[in-house]
Amino acid sequence: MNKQNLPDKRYTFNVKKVVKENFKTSTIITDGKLESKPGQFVMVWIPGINQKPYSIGDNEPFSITAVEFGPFSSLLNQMKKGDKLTVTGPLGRGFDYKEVKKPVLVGGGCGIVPLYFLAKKLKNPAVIMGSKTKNEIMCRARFERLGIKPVITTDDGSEGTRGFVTAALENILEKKGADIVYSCGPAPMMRAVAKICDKSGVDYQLSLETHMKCGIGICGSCTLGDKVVCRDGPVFPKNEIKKIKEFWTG
Amino acid sequence: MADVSTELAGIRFKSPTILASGILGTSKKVLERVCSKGAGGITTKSITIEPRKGHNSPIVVDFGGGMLNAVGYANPGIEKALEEFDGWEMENPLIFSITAKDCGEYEKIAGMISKIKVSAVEIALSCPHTPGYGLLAGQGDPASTFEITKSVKKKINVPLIVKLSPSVPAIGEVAKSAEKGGADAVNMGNTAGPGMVIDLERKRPFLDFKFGGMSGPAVLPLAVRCVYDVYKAVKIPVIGTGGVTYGKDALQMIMAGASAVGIGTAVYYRGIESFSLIEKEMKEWMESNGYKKIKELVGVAHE
Ligand SMILES: Cc1cc2nc3c(=O)[nH]c(=O)nc-3n(C[C@H](O)[C@H](O)[C@H](O)COP(=O)(O)O)c2cc1C
Ligand code: FES
Repeated sequence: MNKQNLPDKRYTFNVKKVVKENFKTSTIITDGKLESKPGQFVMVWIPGINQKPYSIGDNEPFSITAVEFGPFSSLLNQMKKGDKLTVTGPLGRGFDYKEVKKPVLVGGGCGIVPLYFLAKKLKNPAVIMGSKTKNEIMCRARFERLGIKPVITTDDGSEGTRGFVTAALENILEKKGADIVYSCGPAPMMRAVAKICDKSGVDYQLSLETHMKCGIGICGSCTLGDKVVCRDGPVFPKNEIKKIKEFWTG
Repeated sequence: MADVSTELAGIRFKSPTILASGILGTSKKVLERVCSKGAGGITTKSITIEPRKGHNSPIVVDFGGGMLNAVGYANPGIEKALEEFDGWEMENPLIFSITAKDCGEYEKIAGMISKIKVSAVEIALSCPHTPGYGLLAGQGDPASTFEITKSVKKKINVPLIVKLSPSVPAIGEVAKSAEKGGADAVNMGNTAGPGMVIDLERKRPFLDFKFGGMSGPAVLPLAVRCVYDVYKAVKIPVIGTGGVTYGKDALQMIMAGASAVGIGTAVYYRGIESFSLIEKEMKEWMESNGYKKIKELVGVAHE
């Protein structure tokens, strides 16, 4: 919790480009820059509708990626060049990646979004991205432009390896080893990732997701155990994850 | 070391810093953490009979000098809340805050609290931004304050704290009504206003509810004046709430007549560490000015 994360400013960006990631996902690329760290998030405001948390997909140009779930994310998916995007942020604690040598990034679904921003800061990270089917894969081209070839897994085997990210992670840990695993995605996936890392004695940091209404550590809607996820996290290191009973029991 | 412990309606607090209602107040584990980080006591989120989703976001906004909020009493409802806060084991007092639409509903919800162990019950008659409750239901005037206080008092067996609004005229009269109705203490007070913030880029009020209660540094002078007026008007003790961010703010409240201070928005500025920081700053001032006990300072501004 430090003062520099306090949002005494709101920013309104112009949308420069909208990239269709898949049939229900768009990346909104703006014309501006947002001073921020990988793993931090913003509260996106659609006037008259609501305000919701989104991971920062990139800081320069500032971008977010939205999967369509309901009315709010559907409006984000309908955005086009020239529209306005108003955000409060950056918020929360991001990933710590000082002196990391052999990182592995494991993203499930839209959990891959903040990991792209992180990948930009790392040297040769191994990347695993999991999705339900081929149609739901996102952000792959972006990683390839960084010279990274992500390991793809799909639940139904329609692309890449059939199965969950866990098998791919075990494979990488066994063959190449790692000094840290960064992960973001559905809670059951992250639990599995954490268990594998614990077993192999590898360090990890997880980006947790809970229901956030204020994003600034006041309203209490995002708590998990004794943690205020929007402010203490959303990224938590291994030693803290170990103590969050509610994370392990789901 | 200066002694900052305090007593209020027979309840002892090791530190005069009490977490105000509505800040991180729905999770027992988080409230235990707030206590272990130095809060003298804690207040739960105001609980209603039925669960409430509250207003859509944005529910809060930092306007520079403070914060506006329109949370709209988002809470799990009394039944879930009783489960959550049952078995409070910290020695730091737990104040259970409730709010309701009318006397009948207040009585019903107050009657249920005795199922669990709490140190006091607080009633919020003063929310400025939730239709059907508080100021928007006319609960802030002297007559309603008296009626609601009386109804709740007969349903509980722990001290009753009545939380008032700084944005009503003749606050002393309202406090007197609370005292007459049987209040054991007054919390002065809730958020001020309501106020509004308009986003220039989008040309719209930023809060989804359009207006919200003002808190934080901007309301401190207003809250200090209200505490001063209330201290003059009643004999029951006062909790000073509104804009307390630093030790010197808490000391102003104490000098105006508060026996303890409520701390809310400071948690946004200084984190959960606010409580121990404010306590430390109070002690430092007391020591360099030759005061040993908080009691020596309560209401000195009136002398
Ligand atoms: C986000 C937020 C939610 C609040 N919710 C409640 C509430 O449920 N019940 C209540 O009595 N006061 C509520 N308040 C008012 C605070 O308890 C406190 O009286 C007010 O914010 C002034 O103190 P402060 O400047 O230290 O925040 C809320 C305040 C904020 C900022
Ligand atoms: S979202 Fe409000 S405290 Fe985290």
